[in-house]
Order: sequence, then structure tokens, then C-alpha cells
Amino acid sequence: MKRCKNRTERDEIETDLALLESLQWSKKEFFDRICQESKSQDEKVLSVLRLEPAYQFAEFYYLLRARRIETEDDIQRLADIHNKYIVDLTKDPKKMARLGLNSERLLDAMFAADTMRRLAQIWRDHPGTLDQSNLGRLLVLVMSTETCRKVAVACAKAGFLQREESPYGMMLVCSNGVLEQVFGGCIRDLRHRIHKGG
Amino acid sequence: MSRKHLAALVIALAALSEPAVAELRGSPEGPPVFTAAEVAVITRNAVLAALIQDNPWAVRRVLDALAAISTTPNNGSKRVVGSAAPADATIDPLANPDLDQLQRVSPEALLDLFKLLKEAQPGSGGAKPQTPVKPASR
Repeated sequence: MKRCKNRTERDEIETDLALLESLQWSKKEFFDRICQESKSQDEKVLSVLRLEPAYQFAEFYYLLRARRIETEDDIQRLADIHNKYIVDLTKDPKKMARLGLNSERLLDAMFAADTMRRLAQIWRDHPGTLDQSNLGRLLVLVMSTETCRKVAVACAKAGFLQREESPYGMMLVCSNGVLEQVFGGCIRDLRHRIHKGG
Repeated sequence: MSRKHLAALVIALAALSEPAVAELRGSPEGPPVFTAAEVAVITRNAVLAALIQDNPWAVRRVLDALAAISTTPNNGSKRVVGSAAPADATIDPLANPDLDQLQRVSPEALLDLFKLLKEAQPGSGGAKPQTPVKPASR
């Protein structure tokens, strides 16, 4: 009986290990694939694409597309939810500390009336396009504005993002879909791999 | 080393300071002691290489903090970016490969961002998600 129990536990551990291996494989695959897809093979560009924030950046763009954030109303709803989340977070100092954020930085990341208007107008004129500073606001939870800028620059050099200055001095960024496709492909392959049992 | 880098490093130290980390190697009156492996780390990280000339004890504390990160569970939630740091005071990961781990993100924040986008999905629960996918060619 005891031996049988041990065998079951061993089987469970083997399954756990297979899952762990798949998770690690998936992340490695993501970095391999975006480096492969990169139009620039300059080591400086590739080394930024291999950083963890590049994964989070791609995940964000993937979620925008997968969650069908498409219209002006959609992006405004996202900004409203983001603002509400930030207000709630500033009232929870323990959580702020856990996330490594402070209220000054969070308040900077809120969409005020003028930034909200700019966000909506840019999205309306060029669907899928964000002012880089607004992209930084939406990503405040996971990276600094400077890290966001660095990843955006590397992604532009890699050919994943169109990044150009507007006549008003704003840096506009728009994904061409490669990042989202690579990220989505890795997630789907991970799911298939897990279903097949490693 | 720029003021921004120094600020980021000081914040890293502040964020990571714990009693176990505060243990000093070497005498406070004299220079700190570094192992051969630590010297290699200092050499390959521009911020540390610059800082060691002015403040070797600060470098000692950074190395202790890094050692604590690699042995402390849940270290992923500790980060420098976004704490008291100015928004652009990140440490260049290319010039400082070993310090980049100080900038790791909180898994809780990642999950929250995922949930925000889920909530923002039009007609969430009703609309069929559109999944952009490029499966492996192999």
C-alpha cells in the first residue's frame, strides 16, 4: 500500500517536472524566436530582446490584440480601468511596497484629462498606435519608462515596431503584429506540449 | 558613472538592505575583502567598476545584496525600478549584466496587468477573443 502511494507521488512529481520543463522551454522558445525574427542581428539589439522586459512588452501587445482592444472606446476603457487601479493601489501602501512602486511614480502614470485625450485621438487617427509615454504609463506595473523606451527602440530596430516622431514631438509606436504572433505561437505551442504530456 | 546610475545603485541598496545583508566582510576601517569571483563580477559591471574607486564598501554591500537575492525565496518581487528611483535611473543591463537582476519585476504586478486587460476586453465574457498566433515551424 505504502509502495503504491509512493509510486503515485512519484508520478505526480514526474508530471510536475514535465510541466516545469515545458514552462522553461516556452520562455526560451520565445526569446529564440524573437531573435530569429529580428531584422537586426546586431548583438546590442538582440541582447535587449533577450531581456525579461522584452517578454513583458510582447505579452502586453499580445493581450491588447487577443483581448480585442481595437476601438477608441476600448483604449479609453482600458485607460479608465488603469486609472482606477492606480487610485486603489495608492491607498494600499503594503501592496505598493510589494510591487516596488511609490505614489509619486503611480500618479505620474495616471491618464489625466489631456493625456487621455491624446491617447484617444492618436488611437482614433492611427488605430493601434500609442504615444510612447502613454505606453510607458500602461506598462508602469512591470517596467520603468526608460526600460520601456529601450525595449521599444530595440523592437523598432528588430522591425517589430514602427516608431516615429509626430510633428508635435511625440514618439508614436505601433506594432506590426510580429511580436504578438511570436508570443501567441509560444503560448499555443506550450499548451499543446502540456496537453501531449511533455 | 552618472548621477542616475549612482542613484539607482543607492536605491538598490536601500531596497535590498536587510539585517542578513548588512554583515560586513573586512574591517570598516580598512578596505573590504573581495573574492576572486567577486572581482570578476566587479570587472564586468561598469557601475561597480566605477563605484569601487570612490566607495568600495558600497560595492561590498551591492555584492552582498546580490548574493542575498540569489539565495532568498520570492526574490522576484524585489526590484529597483519603480521604487524611489527617478523614472530614467535604470542600470544599463548591457554594461552591468550582473546588476540586471535587481530590476526584476513582481509576478503580482504581471498578474494584475493581465487582469486589467481582461477587464478591458469589450463585452468581456461575450466577445470571442482573437488570438494572434504564429506556431512553430519545426
